[in-house]
Amino acid sequence: MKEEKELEGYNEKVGDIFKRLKTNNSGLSEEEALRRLKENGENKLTERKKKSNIALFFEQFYDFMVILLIFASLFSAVISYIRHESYIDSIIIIVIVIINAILSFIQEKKADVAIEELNKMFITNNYVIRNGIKESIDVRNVVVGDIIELEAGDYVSADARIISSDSLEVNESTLTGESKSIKKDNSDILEEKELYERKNMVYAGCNVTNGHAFVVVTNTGMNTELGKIANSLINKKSDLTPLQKKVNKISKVLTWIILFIILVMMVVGLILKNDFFDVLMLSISLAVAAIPEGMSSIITIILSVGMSAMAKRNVIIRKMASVETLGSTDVICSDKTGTITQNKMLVKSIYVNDTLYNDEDNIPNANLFKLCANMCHNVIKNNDIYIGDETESAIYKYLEKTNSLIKGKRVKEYPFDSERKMMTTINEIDGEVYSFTKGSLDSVINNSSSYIINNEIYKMTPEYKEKIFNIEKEESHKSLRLLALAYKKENINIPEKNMIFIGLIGMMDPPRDNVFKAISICQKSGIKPIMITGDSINTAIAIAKQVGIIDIDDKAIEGKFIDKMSDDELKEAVRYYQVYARISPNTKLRIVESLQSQGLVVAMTGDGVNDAPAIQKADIGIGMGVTGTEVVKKVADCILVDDSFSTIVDGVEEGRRITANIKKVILYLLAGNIVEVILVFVSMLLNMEMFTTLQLLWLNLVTDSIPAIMLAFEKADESVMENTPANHSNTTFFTPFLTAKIAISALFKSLVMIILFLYFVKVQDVNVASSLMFIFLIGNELLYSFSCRNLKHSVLNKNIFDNKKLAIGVGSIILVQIIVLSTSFSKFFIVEGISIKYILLTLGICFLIFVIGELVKPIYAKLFKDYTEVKNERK
Amino acid sequence: MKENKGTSFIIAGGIIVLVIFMFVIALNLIPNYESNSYYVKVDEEMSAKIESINIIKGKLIITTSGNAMEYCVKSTRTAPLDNALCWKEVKDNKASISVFEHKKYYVWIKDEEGHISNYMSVNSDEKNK
Repeated sequence: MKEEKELEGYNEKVGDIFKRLKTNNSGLSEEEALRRLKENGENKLTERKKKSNIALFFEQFYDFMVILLIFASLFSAVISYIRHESYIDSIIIIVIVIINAILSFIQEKKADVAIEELNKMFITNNYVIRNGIKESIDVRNVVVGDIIELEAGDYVSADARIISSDSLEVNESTLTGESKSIKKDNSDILEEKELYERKNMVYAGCNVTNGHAFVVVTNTGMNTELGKIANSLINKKSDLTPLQKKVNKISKVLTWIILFIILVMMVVGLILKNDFFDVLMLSISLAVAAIPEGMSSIITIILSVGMSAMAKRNVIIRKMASVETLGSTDVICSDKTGTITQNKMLVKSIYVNDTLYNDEDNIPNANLFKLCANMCHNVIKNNDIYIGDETESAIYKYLEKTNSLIKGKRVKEYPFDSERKMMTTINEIDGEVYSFTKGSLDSVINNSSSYIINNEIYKMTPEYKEKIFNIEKEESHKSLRLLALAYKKENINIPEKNMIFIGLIGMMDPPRDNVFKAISICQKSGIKPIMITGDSINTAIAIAKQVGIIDIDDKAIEGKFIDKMSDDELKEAVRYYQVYARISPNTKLRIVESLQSQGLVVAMTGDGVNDAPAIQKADIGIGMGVTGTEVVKKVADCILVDDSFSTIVDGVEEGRRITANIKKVILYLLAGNIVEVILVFVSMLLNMEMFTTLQLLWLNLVTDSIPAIMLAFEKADESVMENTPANHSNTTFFTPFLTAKIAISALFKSLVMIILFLYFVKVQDVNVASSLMFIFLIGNELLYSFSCRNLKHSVLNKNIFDNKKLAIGVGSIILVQIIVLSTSFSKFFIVEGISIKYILLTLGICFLIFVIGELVKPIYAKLFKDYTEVKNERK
Repeated sequence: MKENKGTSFIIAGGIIVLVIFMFVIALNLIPNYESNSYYVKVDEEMSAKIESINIIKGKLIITTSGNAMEYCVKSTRTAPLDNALCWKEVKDNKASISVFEHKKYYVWIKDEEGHISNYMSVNSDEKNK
């Protein structure tokens, strides 16, 4: 028994659809539309289910180090109970954990809100008939059964069946990849058809390029064809970014180290017959000392600051950690049209009367040429907007520029189709009837029996044809796209045979300004630019050479050859080729996967929904802000406001700057903490508490946090866009250079502090010594923040106010410290009666250590590598 | 960081179990030595005694009697060794040291024979003991 056919709109008659959807030509009533909106939801692509605020807040506690701190607080409370001590340490630790969680929660919410605001930028309106009246409504409020009026230039917001149409053409490239506009009508289709064959339907995400139509909405939101594709993309789990992986690793390693040291402390404590709870208390101090409590919030703040900095450079970051990923980019796979080029097709050359002219030339005896050009387009200019096909718009602009616009009376049109590759119009001009034809050179010249030069007609010869084809070849090497023109005055009833060839129009989509410079920066930075385009290989090669992506034709390849390659062959191919022409969406995805399998961080641009899988697969998916579809913007990690390639390079530079600054911050926080860990351990050996828990918490949270955040504003080093291994992702965070810097610096400082501590215990007492060590660490951390501005070169000859925010931050901390230590709060941190001479001695030695540190910096850079070769192969 | 939930909880659970176990053992094994009447060594007698410990304006004031030569004040309870750096001179049976707020301190004294007392403790929030 035959199955009932699935009603998909295209295979139904308009009348049946009206009955099924309970609508008519006057549209729905407002009440019915509202009811349907409430029942079915808005006409939009739904995102991944958002977490509730409570869930998001508690997520901040799912962290190794946070859990360790919570337990430190619990144990501290237990010890306080047993020993009848104050609970203040325990309370403060928990308060810090909660404040951290609140700060991180606020930052994440702010980022989400910013993204939502961004998404609002891309909402459009449609004209909808409701109660017989035409209204302009937000596309999100379109419902099934609505009658929409579409015109050239409109965005199709929902899947709809065409009720009536007039020369309707729709660009469905976002859905099918076909870049040519498709002619649509309201014909009935009775058999099953593929998406691209359904001429009586328009689909969400597409654009009307010509004509006019009334349509009835059959599907909205996630039920549209666009929604079905989006659904499979939006719910995919994304991989961790390089930064997230590195910070995870640091967090894990640090936690294991802390637990190991605690174990060692307990064993040593038992051997020394120390009181068990003393050892436990010191373990808590060690955990507090070792854990950079503010690190998570600080990195979130830095990334947030990075997002703002990138927005100023026209890169809108949608996923915070992508700030760092962009900086690690090894390969940029970019579209040609609109990203490398301006997407403004312009006439550049004209061949007529056996002479090649450029667009600035005054062409004599060109009336016939101008007539033909005028009669063979359907462009409408509406308030400085050119509505119509891009090549025809280019011709219109040229005619406008040369004051050659002519209006004629069109009698008939034979529209363009991909079989004939020609377009012909029959026109009445000054009482005479002409047929004018425009199309591909092959089609036009092979249907021409003669040609005209300076008003003289000659019989077409093979030699003349060869000459014209040679001209075409030369012009296409200049990346020009060519159209041929011809006409007829006799036997107009068969217009496209035995035509008289007039000439050629050469057009190009010029490269964007700054692209050449951007490509040059890429090459110098070790970033490989790759062009991927659906255009012909000759045009692609010409543009690629013009902007500097390649210098020889051999580095270009067509998609059909890629499709025949195995994965291993493709791996070899992607190492060599930099221009890929006539590429399908699936091939694009294969290219991304192949590059990634070699451990490269890949950035991929895209605008159409067919680009979405490749964009999501790429390490950094880049959506186009101007031409990009909703789906692409949702899956992309960042969006280019101006669609420009040079903006990507700006984003990479900014990303590298932020990554370098995050490295400085992590070094700054960890180096200080390691000193504290060593000193707490030594405390146990000396059987004296060198620091109280409150002092350590104050140091980690207050003294360290502000300078750490201000390091985010450090300007880029000169080396940030150099092609050094350190600037690429195939390196761990703990390079030999960084490890040596942290270890040697920490050991040296610890040694100095132990000697100082013992001296002060001897001449004063343990509490005075502890207070002076606290002051020492404050001074050390503040000075060290300046040192971290540049990891390899001394900052002594730098202007201290280069980074104004850091200078102000440090100044504020000094002020806060003075205030706190001058009030009753000081009793938590220092004891009374400390001699000024000891304070000055402490700060003097602190400064000396800072100077020594600056002087030995170049030695680290010479002795230790700033990268580690890491195999980063992915499945 | 947020991806380590499972491992985080396993580690956290392990730590809880370990600590509770050690806590129970410690409670049962470690006696409370707080008193001025016990001696470190059973067969020796202290010729000095801590009479009082006061906290006045951020200072811990120790009053002793007998032949107290030195005192040691620490925030850890483990008894100091004979040659520890924390031993300071007692003058005229009085000694003082600045202390931090909200800390518990443990005080030992040494007599002229070198005998070390057991500790007395005080919270720096308390005023008199």
